[in-house]
Amino acid sequence: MSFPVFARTIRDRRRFLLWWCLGMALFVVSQVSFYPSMTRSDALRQYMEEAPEWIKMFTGGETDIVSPVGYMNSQFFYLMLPLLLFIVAIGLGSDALAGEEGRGTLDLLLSAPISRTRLVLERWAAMDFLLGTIAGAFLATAMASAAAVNMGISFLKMAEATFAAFLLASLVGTFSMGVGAATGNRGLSIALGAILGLASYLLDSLGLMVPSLAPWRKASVYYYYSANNVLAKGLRVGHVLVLAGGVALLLLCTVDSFRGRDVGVRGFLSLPLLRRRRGAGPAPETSRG
Amino acid sequence: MEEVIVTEGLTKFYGRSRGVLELDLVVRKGEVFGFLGPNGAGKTTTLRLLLDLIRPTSGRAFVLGMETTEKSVEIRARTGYLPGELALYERMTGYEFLLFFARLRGGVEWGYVEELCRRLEADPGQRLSSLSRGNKQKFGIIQALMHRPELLILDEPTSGLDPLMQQEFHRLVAEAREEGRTVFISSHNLPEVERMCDRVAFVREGRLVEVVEVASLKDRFLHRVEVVFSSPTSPGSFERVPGVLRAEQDGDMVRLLVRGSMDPLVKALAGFPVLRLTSHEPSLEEVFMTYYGDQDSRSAPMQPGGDRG
Repeated sequence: MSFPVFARTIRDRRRFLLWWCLGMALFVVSQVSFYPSMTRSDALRQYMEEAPEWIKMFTGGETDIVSPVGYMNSQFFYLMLPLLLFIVAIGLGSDALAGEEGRGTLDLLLSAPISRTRLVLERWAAMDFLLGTIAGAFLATAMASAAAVNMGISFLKMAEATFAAFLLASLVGTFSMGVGAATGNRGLSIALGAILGLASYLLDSLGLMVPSLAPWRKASVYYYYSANNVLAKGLRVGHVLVLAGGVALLLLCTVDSFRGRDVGVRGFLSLPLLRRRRGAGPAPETSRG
Repeated sequence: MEEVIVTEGLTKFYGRSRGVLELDLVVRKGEVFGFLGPNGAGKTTTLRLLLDLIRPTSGRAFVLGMETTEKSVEIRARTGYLPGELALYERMTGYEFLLFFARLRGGVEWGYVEELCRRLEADPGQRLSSLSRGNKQKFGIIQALMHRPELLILDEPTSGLDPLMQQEFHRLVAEAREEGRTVFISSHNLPEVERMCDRVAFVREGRLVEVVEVASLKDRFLHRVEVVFSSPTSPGSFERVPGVLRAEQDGDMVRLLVRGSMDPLVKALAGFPVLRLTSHEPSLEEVFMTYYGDQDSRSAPMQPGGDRG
């Protein structure tokens, strides 16, 4: 059994993959190399303890940024790693179907004997493969550089947190792909994917600080990622299941909406709006005979 | 005779705008069938319905005996398709592109792909983004033919091809017919359809106007003929020639509107000092005006130059 669409998608993305892995590695090495000088600084520890509440937005509610777990959490896991993976996931997810449709090549691809379900699944698998490889590059350099500066941190828990970040990004990417599958509009799928990623981050972080928002944290997918807890205590099966279940549900919706759609018919959804706007104007519609 | 394409009341609306209306069509095995109509008549819509890229608003379509919305993958495995607005994977080379589609089809006879490249003079080493429109079209055609499908669905296949390549393409279509395969071609170019097809369906504004044998077209359609004489000649000499509907003088030139066979006119011209003789095919719009409009054929406009757009 061969997977031509999967294979071709990876091949087309090989440069993209290489640059992202290199960039991730450089970012990790440069940040971790500061760690030894950070631990020697009592001033920083003191500063963080007296820091304003909003600082916790970027650390997941932690004030400890000097211990190995605190440092890795604040520098990478709580915000930067998911954010970078979101960018990758939204880019790939929106391109997978809507991008291809926008470039006009989807007609040709779907004239080959490949079912729409299979196309969605192969493209989704390629997205997750690329996302996973980039997350893997992050993890590998994080482990290597942590070992190089003698940072006492559990590799297993770092792997668990990286996996959780990968799952979270996969969820955002699958959502973006689904919007593209349902509308054929790449811009919209990027925008809604970015909104999901940022809104869930904000809701989770603000919920830490604003007590009235606290109960709403569970409505944010970011809550189930909870990097600081994973680094300290390990993965929680329930949270992993929520994220994985979310991915599966979104993938199902993507397949379903793509199967039912008229491919290449753009502007269909926006037509009623346009008509209403034109009708509201002073000039009556003129027919072009 | 086996029916390869059957549509029953096939209708497609995009929101409130029309694609095709109540289309009933039968294409038989082994024929080259032309689907002719002006731009916006619903040709591409029909073809895309057959490939299940879009779904009918009402009605049904069967290809190779299978309903398009149910057995699309099986249909597509046995069909070759060339989209009207062809977009290729620009970053691939021609070779990579053909290899990708060969893999999607589960492997094809590569020798045949190479033969097609040779015959259409397509250079598979080039990156597709660097190719001209006509050269891109060649890869679209090769891709549609590469697996020797039972049915070819081609949307404006010769657009962008130079005349020499158009001839080669006509030969490929003729070969497909000889092998008993079926070809469904959409076009807005009547002379081309006359050359290639056995039967033609005329569509206009989403509706099927008529299906005719190409052989019967010959004596139905109009030609505009311009004859330049070495000395002024009265058009009255030709008005009574059979088939001539109208004759007008313009200096040394006489413009004639002729229906059916040219033979009587050519024989009549033999007695005159003819310097130059040109014949124009009627444009598709003129054909519709003269045959399917309410107008009398004698009021057809007599402007020089055929519209091949």
